[in-house]
Amino acid sequence: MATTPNFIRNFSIIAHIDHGKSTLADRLLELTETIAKRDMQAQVLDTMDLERERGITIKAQPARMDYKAADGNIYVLNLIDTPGHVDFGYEVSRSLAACEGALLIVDATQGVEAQTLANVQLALDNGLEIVPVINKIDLPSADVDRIRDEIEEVLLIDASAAVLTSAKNGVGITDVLEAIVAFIPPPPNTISQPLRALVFDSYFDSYRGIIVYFRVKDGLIKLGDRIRFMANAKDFEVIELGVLRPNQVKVDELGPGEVGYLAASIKDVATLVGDTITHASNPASEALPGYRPAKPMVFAGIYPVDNDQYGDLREALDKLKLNDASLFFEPETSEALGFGFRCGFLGLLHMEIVQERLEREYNLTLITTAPSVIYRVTKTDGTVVMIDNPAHLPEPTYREMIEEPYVRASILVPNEYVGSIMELAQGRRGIFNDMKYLDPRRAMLHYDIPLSEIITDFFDQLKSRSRGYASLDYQFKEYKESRLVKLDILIGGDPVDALSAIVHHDRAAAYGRNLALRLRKLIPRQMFEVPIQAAIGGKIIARENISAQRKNVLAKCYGGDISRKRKLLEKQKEGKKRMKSIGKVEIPQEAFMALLKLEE
Amino acid sequence: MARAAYVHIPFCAHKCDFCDFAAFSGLDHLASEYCHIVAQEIQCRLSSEPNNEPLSSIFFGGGTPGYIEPDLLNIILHKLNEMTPFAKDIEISLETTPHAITREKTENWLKAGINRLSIGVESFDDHELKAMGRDHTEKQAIKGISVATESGLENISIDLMYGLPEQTIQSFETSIEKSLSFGLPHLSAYGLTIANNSPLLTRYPKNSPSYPTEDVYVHMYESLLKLTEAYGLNRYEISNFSKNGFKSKHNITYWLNEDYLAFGVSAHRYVNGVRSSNYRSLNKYMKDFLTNETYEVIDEKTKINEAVMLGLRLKEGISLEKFKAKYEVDILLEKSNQITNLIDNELLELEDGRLFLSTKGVLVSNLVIGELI
Repeated sequence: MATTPNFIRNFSIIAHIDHGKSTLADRLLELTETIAKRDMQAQVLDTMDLERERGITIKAQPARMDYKAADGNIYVLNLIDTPGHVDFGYEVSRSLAACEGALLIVDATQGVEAQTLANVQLALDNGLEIVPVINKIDLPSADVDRIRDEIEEVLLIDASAAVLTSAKNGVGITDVLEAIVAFIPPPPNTISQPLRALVFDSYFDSYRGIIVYFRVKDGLIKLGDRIRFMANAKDFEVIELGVLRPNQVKVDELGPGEVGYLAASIKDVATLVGDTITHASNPASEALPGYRPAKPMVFAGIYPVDNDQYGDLREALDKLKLNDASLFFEPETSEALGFGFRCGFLGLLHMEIVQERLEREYNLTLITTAPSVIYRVTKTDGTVVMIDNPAHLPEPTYREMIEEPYVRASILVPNEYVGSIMELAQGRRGIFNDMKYLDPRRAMLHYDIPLSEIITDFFDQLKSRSRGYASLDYQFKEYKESRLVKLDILIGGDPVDALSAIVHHDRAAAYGRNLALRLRKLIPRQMFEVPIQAAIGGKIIARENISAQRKNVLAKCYGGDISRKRKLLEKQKEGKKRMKSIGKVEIPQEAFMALLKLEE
Repeated sequence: MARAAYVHIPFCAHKCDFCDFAAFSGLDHLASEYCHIVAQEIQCRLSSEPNNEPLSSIFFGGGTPGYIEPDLLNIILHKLNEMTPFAKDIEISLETTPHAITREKTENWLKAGINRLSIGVESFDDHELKAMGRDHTEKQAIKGISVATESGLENISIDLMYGLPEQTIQSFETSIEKSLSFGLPHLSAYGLTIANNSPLLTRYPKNSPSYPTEDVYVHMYESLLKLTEAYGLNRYEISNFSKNGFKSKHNITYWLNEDYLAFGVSAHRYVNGVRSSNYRSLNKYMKDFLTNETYEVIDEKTKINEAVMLGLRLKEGISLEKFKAKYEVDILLEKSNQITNLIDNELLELEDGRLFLSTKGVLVSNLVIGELI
């Protein structure tokens, strides 16, 4: 039996990273006995090892809880957890579209952060009811009144009824559940209408095919139903239907407002996320709005270290895409790295996550090139080309103009660090817009900054200059002409296309010197001398030398040493497998990212 | 085919700071019992694996086998001879420190059949000897070598070390010259390798400026090559030099990747494709001398890798024909790109069907081997 919509509450959680979202989710699961205490582990909904290790949420992992409220009724609460990092704003918007409300968690010691602002705006745009929760009230530096004021002034949300919690200590958790029941509206009862269910996630299962996560908006879906994905115009039979508690539990039917999963032997469907499920026999006349596709902002080449893994990499990217709709990729070739893919990401963290997932979940050894933005190049013949790979930049004689993307960056920073952050933004070619004080202690700075400057180490610098207190949010603003040049790197006399970069004219020489120096430090000494050169338009502007290794020998090797010494050599060889041979030079993965971590 | 046996004698007057072997000082009272146990081990192992091929070499290593009573060594040799025949020209080597050598001992060693001495001099510079924690002086070294040569023993080798803390090119060259002045037929010189837990590191941490730089180290090796050659000693392995007819038969067994037997604490053997070792703990070994501490089946690929690693240590290198016959692999074909590249870079040479390291290649042999395995 489908649950009566009146007793359903669908909500997500909006929070800045580290404000306690995953911990609160854990407590909710515990209190509703969705997960027995003995099976509980921290960050239950973060199923990827990567998420637990980094303490972040990447994927929205849904969970259905049964809660017996103070009014005596049993409610079905569907939590759709959301990521907190700026790169994953797209995941957030997907989750929000499946809910009627959101918990807004604010750290009682930190206050509202830049991304929280952006995500709250998203939630309000989606017409969600927002329930503020002030967390970490047990900490000595907690200032509940200030945070309440801040929520009201900055976010324009009534915070008088904000729930006070300490998720870590299990304080206020029942209040949160009651607030969800009381303030978040139930989904409308549209059981008699033709089926429409929104697909908000999917992943590949090697036994059951693609598993689809969806939320029923209208009508009723049953096991055995013949369903149609409206955008894909493909029909399937539902062979498994269930809910997520958070592990999969089979059910026979799901009605309006319910969240669940289905398997239907789906093999080759490109993009399901955002599509609408309806019945093949009684289709809805109009699909649900779906999602605005995420626009990748950052591009990098991903190459297998071993060229034989190219096919595996393609397959892995195809599968990852099912689970990560914002990932973009197309084949490309590099003279230095061979066959690989140019991939588009939402941001740097997204890029790192994709590389790590590919390596871990698909057992690949990869090289990722330094990230680049998309440049808009007007050629002398008047044509305009978009360049997402510096190696493909047309030669200067064919270029009329290069434009680069600027973002509008919002930086929230405590007063004492404003000077240092302004210095940082200006050093990165930022154009100051305005500064507003959110409260007597914190200011919001707005800058227009080239995106290429943000995707280097801007975020790290921001954090280190503000002792971790500054937060950043940014959105694409416009393309603007810049004086840019292409910087080439030659290793052992040969140009390495994968190390080319597009940099600002005024700083190109310093960049080149810095990059050559850094490469010298990153590339291990080889059996022969290796020169590293930086060049602009064929003119060498910097040179470093990696001297040949002169001594690497086992002085003694007798009967008792043989196994041990052989293992030593095998290990040395393993280390080399993670390097790419370019010409005769072995280059480690990190070298291709050297551009990112240039010292000031 | 050579048949070699290694016997480990772990006792020492003093444990040196750089020593990473099963070697113990202050346990002399166990020496007699220990040697009887080694004899038992020999009895058990050789009766369970009968092999009538005569032994071509025996090597007493340590520790300081020259430090204990020669009679105890004799017990072991007797047992070996009882269990398996000795080749007529068997080489029986003994490692010793110079100051353990006495006239009485040399007489007994000769009587027992020991016909080769390897004397751990390490350096003729008292300052360096002290720095590395040796318990003898230059004077004692000279005396010990003299006693050995006077005994009538001809096949004597000196061990030297370089890359030592406080060592200079000059001081190393002096040590080489002093070694050569005895007119002995064999010299070994090893670059210092420091184990991570070495007590030497407390006085001379890895980054200490007292160690020679890489350039100085390379220069030291070049000096070694130059001086030994001028003196008529030929390099036949990375660290070993000899007059004609005086290569260490026993050690060549290792580099040709042939089988070797082993007895005693921590001793490693390689028999019928299996490398195994006895307990490294003296206590455990003496209670349970037949149990393996390590046991590794060497598969075909590993066997080939070891053959490359070991074969390239020899100056004459790898005979492609023999290699092909023994391992059914044409390494020239299998690794043609790498070999061409290494030859172009003058690290490897190919001559008369032999693949061997160039002088330049010796010093980076790990990298060269890494390309070929």
